[in-house]
Amino acid sequence: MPTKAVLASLTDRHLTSIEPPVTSTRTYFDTHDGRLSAAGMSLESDRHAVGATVTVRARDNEQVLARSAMTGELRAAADLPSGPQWDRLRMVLERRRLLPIVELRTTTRAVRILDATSKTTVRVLIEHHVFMNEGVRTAGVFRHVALAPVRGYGPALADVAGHLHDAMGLMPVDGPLLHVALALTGQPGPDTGARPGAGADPNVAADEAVAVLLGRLFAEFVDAEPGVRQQLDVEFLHDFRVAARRARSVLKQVRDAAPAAALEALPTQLAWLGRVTGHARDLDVYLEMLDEPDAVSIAGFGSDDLDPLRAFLRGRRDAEQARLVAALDSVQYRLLVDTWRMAGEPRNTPAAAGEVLTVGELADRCIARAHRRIVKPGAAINTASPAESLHDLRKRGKELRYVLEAFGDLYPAKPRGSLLRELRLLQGNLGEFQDCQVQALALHKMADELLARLDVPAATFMTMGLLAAHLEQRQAQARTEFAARFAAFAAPRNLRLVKDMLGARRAVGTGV
Amino acid sequence: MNVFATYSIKGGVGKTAAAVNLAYLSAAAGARTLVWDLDPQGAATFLFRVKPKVKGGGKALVRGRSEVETLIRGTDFDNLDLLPADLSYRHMDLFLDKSKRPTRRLAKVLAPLADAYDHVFLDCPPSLSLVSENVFGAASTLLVPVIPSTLPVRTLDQLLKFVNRQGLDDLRVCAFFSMVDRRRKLHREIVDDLGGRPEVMKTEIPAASVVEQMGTHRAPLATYAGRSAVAKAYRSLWDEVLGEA
Repeated sequence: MPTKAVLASLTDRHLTSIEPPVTSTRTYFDTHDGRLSAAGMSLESDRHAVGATVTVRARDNEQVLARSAMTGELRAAADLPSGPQWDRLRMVLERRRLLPIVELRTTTRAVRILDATSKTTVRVLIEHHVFMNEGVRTAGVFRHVALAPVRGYGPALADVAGHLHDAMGLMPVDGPLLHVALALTGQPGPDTGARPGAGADPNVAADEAVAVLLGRLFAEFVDAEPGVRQQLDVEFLHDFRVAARRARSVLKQVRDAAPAAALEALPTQLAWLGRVTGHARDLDVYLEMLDEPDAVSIAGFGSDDLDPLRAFLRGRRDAEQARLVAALDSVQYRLLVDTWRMAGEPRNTPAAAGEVLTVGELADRCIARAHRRIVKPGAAINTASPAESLHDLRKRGKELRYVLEAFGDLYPAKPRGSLLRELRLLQGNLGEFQDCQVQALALHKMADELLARLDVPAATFMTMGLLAAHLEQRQAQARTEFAARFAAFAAPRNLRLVKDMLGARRAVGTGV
Repeated sequence: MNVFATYSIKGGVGKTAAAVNLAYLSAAAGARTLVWDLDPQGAATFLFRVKPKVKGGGKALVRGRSEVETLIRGTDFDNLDLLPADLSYRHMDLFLDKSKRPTRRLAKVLAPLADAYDHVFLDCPPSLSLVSENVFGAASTLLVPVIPSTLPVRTLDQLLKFVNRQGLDDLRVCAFFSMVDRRRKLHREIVDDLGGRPEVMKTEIPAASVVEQMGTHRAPLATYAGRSAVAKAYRSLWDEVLGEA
């Protein structure tokens, strides 16, 4: 429907004020894992001749939650305007990079519908959109007439909407402009972070279910790779490594049900990947540590004492990034990708019957074994046990978590959820213990390396020392709390929880 | 939610002009802004072209029998809404007097809006009454326009004494010289003498016919005379008020 026709129809019927056309480039953003969408928000920047604005809206009704003038690029939470209305958005984004999901070149003709006193009662925005791809026009265009309500003038809005429908045949679209644009481009919805699982049918052949699981983990893995290469944000590398770690853990635990070719090569390949990406991840963690409230408080708000350490770590991270990308360009990596892709391909095994192991049986076995491998060694840990025994227990805890998440859909939600919650609490304690130890040791090592440099002031070393001492204190605290935390995890009621969970699945599986 | 009240015991000193122009600037900067026109004359309501009518009147509003959200009207400007005046506000003192906690009723009316707006401007009637006491209780900042002559300055001193006596330590008083005519010796002397006081803003709002034209345009200054000296003065005043927040 041409703009002129819509304008003529409105001006014939209403008192109007027509504003000159305005052209802008609108970019919608979200994180790779769709945090804004999951939080019910949308974020857009509008760049036009006289400036730029950034707007966050409620995703379902496009209500403006905050709007501000914008300077510079919008890449992450740090680029958002200051103010309480933006703080909620910052909490959602955390450290994730903002990625453009739709870019439109829009020409808008705004028409204000006026009452007898020339008060605006409705704003009609006649928009002509051209899809852009990295700043270049594409052939994709669409028109959109938006009615922007003015609070308290509902009848006027209904009247205009009715007229546009009756006289011009314009139908209301289902959802806001962003949804329309995403649908037109055929884009999938953003990844909402749900963990890949093996499915909910316990009677599927185990090897088929494992292939599905490996396939989903592979999809997560390759999805994160571009973000790792471009170093978009720290979460891409984390997600990349976690997908690989989960796959390796699954292969270790399901052994009999995994494809033989995958079992032969993939664990070694994944271990290699863990090694070549590990140092980069460590550096990301150390840099994040320096921005945590503890570190900021120890250094003093606004202090630059830790800046030399930050610069040192950033330099190391940049060098490590080059090595990491080289590893991703290597033949070894291509082999890993091919092996994993093949392991994730459907087996097309018929539904299991008789002697073929089902995924339900496999899951029960894996969960029971992984649970035993925590409870027994955990009970043996006492105050004299070395730190490594807690680090090992943490690894066992991860294995249990991975199988619970991989096969979780086979089990009733309540006991599974309760078990995961208890496990998270235990892992939280073990993680605090290990991470603080590793980070404190790392600070000592970094101090040695920085000593060789003449441009690092004494204040930096003193602050590093205070920070290391604080981490060691936290580590000691975590160690003190371990016994109670483990006792809660291994309490009889939680042991019954596992038994009940596995029993409930079997009861459902047999129709009892 | 920050609540700013343009207040003076005297009329015709520039309260409504300040409320409307500063609210516009607040909204233009992206803050969700509401103007509550408490003056039964309804000047702010007129300037925003809204009907001066509140369903149920002021009585139902302060007694909690109306839902304030349903009474708010959008203006012609993004992020800027208006809770209109109503002729019944001329009896506001009576409505408040007959209510429980009569000095806290206006704050109670505003409470449900705390998450919906960043800044609220109360355009107050010229008086020293129960309405004023409610405004002092609801506002975090009093914006007090003062014409630089003897009697208005005396009125400012009376107001400061009153605020002090009432123990309103959390209430920030930002007085500013309004309708300043630097050609007049008295204006120059008073502005120069009193400009250093801590409660007096450095920005002066000059007397200008473009402000009177707000009534003809029925719009904030920035929309039709954005480059005028007085529009710039309001921007400077708003920056100063925010800077001290």
